[in-house]
Amino acid sequence: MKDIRILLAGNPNVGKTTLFNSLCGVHQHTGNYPGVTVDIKEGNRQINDHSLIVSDLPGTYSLSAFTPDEQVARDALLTSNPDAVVQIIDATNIERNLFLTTQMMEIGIPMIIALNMSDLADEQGITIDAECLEKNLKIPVVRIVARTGEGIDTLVENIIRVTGQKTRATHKEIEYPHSVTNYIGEIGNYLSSHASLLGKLSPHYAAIRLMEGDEHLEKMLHDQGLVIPFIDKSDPAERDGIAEDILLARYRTAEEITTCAVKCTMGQVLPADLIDQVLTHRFYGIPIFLACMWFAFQVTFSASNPFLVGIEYIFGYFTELMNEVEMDPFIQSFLSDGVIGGVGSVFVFVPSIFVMFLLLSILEDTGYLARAAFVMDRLMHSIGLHGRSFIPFLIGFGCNVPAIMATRTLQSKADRIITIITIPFMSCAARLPVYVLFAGVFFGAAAGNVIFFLYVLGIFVAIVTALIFRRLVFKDEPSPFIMELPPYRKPSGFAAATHMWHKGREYLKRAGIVIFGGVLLVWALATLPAGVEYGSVDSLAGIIGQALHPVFAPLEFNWQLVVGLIFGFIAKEVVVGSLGTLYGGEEMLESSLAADPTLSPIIALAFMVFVLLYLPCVAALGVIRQEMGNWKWTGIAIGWGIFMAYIFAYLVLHIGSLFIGV
Amino acid sequence: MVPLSLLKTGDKVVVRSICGTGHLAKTLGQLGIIIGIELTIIQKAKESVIIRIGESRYALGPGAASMVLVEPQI
Amino acid sequence: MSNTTYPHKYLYGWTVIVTLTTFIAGFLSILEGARIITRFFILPDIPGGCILILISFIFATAVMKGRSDRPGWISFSYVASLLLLVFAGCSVLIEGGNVLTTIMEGEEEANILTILSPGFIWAGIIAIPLYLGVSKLLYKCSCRGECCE
Repeated sequence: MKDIRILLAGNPNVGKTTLFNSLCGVHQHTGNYPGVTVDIKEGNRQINDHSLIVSDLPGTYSLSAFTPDEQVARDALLTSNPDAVVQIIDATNIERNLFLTTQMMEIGIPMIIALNMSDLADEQGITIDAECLEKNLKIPVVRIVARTGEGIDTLVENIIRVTGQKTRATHKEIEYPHSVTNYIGEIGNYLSSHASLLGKLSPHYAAIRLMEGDEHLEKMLHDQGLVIPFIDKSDPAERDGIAEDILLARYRTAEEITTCAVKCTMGQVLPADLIDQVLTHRFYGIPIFLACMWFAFQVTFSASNPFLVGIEYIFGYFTELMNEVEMDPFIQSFLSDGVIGGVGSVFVFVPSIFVMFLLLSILEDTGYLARAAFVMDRLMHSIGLHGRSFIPFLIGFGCNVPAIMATRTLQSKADRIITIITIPFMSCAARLPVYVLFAGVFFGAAAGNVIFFLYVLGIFVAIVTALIFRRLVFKDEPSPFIMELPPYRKPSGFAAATHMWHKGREYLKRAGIVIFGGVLLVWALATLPAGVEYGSVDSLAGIIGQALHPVFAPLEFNWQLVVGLIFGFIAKEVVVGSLGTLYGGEEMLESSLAADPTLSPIIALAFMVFVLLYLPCVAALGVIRQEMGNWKWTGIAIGWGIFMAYIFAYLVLHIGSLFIGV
Repeated sequence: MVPLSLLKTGDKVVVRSICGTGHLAKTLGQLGIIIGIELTIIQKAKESVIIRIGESRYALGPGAASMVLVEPQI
Repeated sequence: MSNTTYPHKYLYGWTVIVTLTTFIAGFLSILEGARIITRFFILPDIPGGCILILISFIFATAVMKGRSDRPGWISFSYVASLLLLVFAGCSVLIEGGNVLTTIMEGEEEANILTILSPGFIWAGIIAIPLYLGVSKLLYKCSCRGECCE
């Protein structure tokens, strides 16, 4: 058995993750916009007596590493010493992709080029002479269609062949102007006498990187006490000039190779330019986006409603069944109140969540979301956020955890911190069950509007937060917006459905483990100490709720709601689950909430507002800590959330009372 | 030479200069927005632009668009 | 591509008709939503009505552009009719879901025909020929030599 470690590298949105999935038989999510992968994902594939260990790198345009996700890719390429690098190239856009090739082929790691989406290129009338490409670059080129798995076997064969070679592969060399080669030669010579400091890098390559302006490498050498002549002494303008010469040399190489290898004929393309003119229109851009979102929410709620009623019916039937069977009252309570009541109240919302993920992934696949980011940039900029933050926000409506991870595509630290603090105000799918329950019970036909109001309120609080932090804490402008717009693609129903299924299954798994556990804990607290009336004030849950009740007295929450909020920290769905348990079962939850004299529509609304804003769940908290890198900002993010929740719930309660007159 | 942000939809231009030398200028360079390249403006909304270079499309916000100085093609 | 005449006279004329129907459908939805009139078989829906009017504005822009700028007409009417059809599909899902829920909850008032009542569906049906015609033109537009230049 021989381990072969390969890296999948390439520009953003060229299909790295799709290839990774078909190579390793897993189902990482892919989307039609740059920046889905922000972390290295590992998988493996067994072939005969070889074991391929595949790492999927974040997409990067170059190895310069200005953003954290690019830095992850750079570090992996330069320091992890893999057996081979597979660069995935978008066949419809070779020239731009080859720029990265010109950077990677100098590292000295064996490379293979996987020419992806050659079917799309054919459709668009782009003919690629792969042999010419191979001959010029001196790198094996394999045509693949990552989506269907075509060509994967040939790719694997090539990987094994290339890594099995005894001699190190030599790729095409880039012709730099004389002035540059002189510098590279001198610095290279100097560095070879300090080769131990360079780690895996060759002195020649390190010299090129230093001339290109690799600040990380320069700092690393500096920290080790190495003073590099020519670099430290030369004036910045001269260094910039050399960096530009290198850049131009790379582009020229990419252009030469493209001219030789790519032939164009007439083809059928959906002319993105024409469509962009409308979708990103000065006046129509934002209204079109809002209309799409409005429909997405309406469909989510209405189309999943029949399923919801059906599931409710089934769980109600089970509870009845359970109550008819003769058994020990303690076990009976455990089964009907704890298991069926708690879990059922969470499972009811599975359909809404499935539909929501389906719609989000369809929207993503079309390539519209990147346009939406452009359209929203001006708005985002005026509230002190970067246009790119918009995509993490949208992801946040599904789940805050990947949304917070997605902030890695932002360059400036201030932009990232502000975005991370505001993401938890994007109402994630887990909060939906709470709204559906309370809005359904207390607002009847107006439920849809109430829920829409909550989403809007979340966005509003996010705006206020961003403004406050940008104006008062960071006091600088968000960094300028640059983003690649992916081509439009017809959304594939199959891909969207698979994505929905995987996301939905994750939710179900959570419902099965975390939520079930949480619900059982609540049931135990509601039953113990032995002998108390189930879920009464005397139970442990009641005692905890009572103890914290005074804190929430100004908000008029009863103790059951307080207990729900505490357990909502495990996962927001647990709020519903634990209320289901405390009020004695899913079937009765709605009617008992409606009958509870301590509740009123306006209190319910304040409660929903509090749930929307207060604390991200444990999982999101963990990611916030990881991405912020310190507890200070993590603490600020949490404190700010609770503060906002309290204020807005209070405002809603008191302003709302004026209107409803309770 | 005029900044990219002052042109109108449909213009074809050649990049003549890129102001500044910071990260932003380098990012533009890596996307292929370099001196001498020809690009088409496919959308203009206030000071933001969408440009096309070959088969790639990029959205540039006001800050980035004003850094790129171009010369219109006739 | 700039062409001052539009050979597809009928399709262009149809854009005008679609513009008007979309606008009227939106207007009626809003009036019904505000309970000013209740006589028409159209779903009362204020936000939906606003979206219909927005789409009719896009169609109107297409009509205006079509006088001098053929690609402009094609792109605006293509996107507007695509949006209209997608939203019409969404409306069927939304109303279908609502009707199914009322049936499952055992209420007798459920009327399956209300699935067909959203203004989007009426406007959408009228826009189908335009969408088909324009999308053909759009693909023809894209067979440009730009990539080969």
